[in-house]
Amino acid sequence: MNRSAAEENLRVIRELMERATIYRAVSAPAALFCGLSALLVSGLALIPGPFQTLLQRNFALVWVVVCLLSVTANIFFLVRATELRQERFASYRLRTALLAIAPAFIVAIALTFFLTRAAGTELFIAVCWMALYGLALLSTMTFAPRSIVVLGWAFILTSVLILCVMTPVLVLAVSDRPNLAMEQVGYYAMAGSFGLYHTIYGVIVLFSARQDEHG
Amino acid sequence: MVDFNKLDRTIHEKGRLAIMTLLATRSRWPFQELKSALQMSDGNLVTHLRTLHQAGYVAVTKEVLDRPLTSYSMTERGRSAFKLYIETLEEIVKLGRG
Repeated sequence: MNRSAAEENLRVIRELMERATIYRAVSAPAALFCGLSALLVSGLALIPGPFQTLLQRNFALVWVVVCLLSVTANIFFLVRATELRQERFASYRLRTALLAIAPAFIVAIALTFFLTRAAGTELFIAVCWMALYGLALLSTMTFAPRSIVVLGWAFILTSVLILCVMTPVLVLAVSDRPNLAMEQVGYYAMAGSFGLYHTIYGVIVLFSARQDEHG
Repeated sequence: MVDFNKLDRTIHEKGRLAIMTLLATRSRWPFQELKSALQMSDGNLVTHLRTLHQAGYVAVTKEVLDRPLTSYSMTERGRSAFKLYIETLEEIVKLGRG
């Protein structure tokens, strides 16, 4: 065996190992849970009913609760998946993923504290969450599957689109009732992004996993 | 001088090298996941796995959960052989660089 053949074999080994260490930081069932929860909460906040006023007055708090529940669900499903594979939950891959997403989450927490002090910032809070969540997902792109990268870009592009195109239109449209309308618009933004995107991601990933099992 | 006899012929074959590489990354690989990751046919994969198993490099676990599940893992002997194989490749590369 010559040097180039040995190098080629080492390259194949390295590439295969990299591919095998792909880590899905957002599990599909947890994404589905998060998406459906977001759609349910948005529905309750937007459709007249007993919870509407409560939900609209506590926009940030409601979504923090949804976020915490979704994180709990994600941990549960990740633990279950690692148990099935007979691996340790606190793996090197998990630590790497957490370190990668931490900066975006820290900024999101700080911005949430800052922005919730002012009224009528619901849409802007939603846009910040979308952008920072997208950045968090994309920060894992070197070891994440393609679906996570696509999900990250979907959040980033949606937040940019809302900032560039939608915000001036919405501000003009709701200028007579800024506070209430912006809360509703915030819920629409959360339902359309966190709700819809996570539901689509969860269904597609679960469906393709089933296909792989049977295929 | 590199001892080329150290290059384990069982591992050196392209398909088996790929299998050993994947088995080195996780404690356990279900058959379907291995097949999907390597894009090999059932027959080809089974043949290579049998060769590695006969060499004592791969352990097989068969269990029935909601359906029969066959998983493969690398044995200590397999891990040592794979490590030695990589070290030999690295030696060849170093010598080639002069």
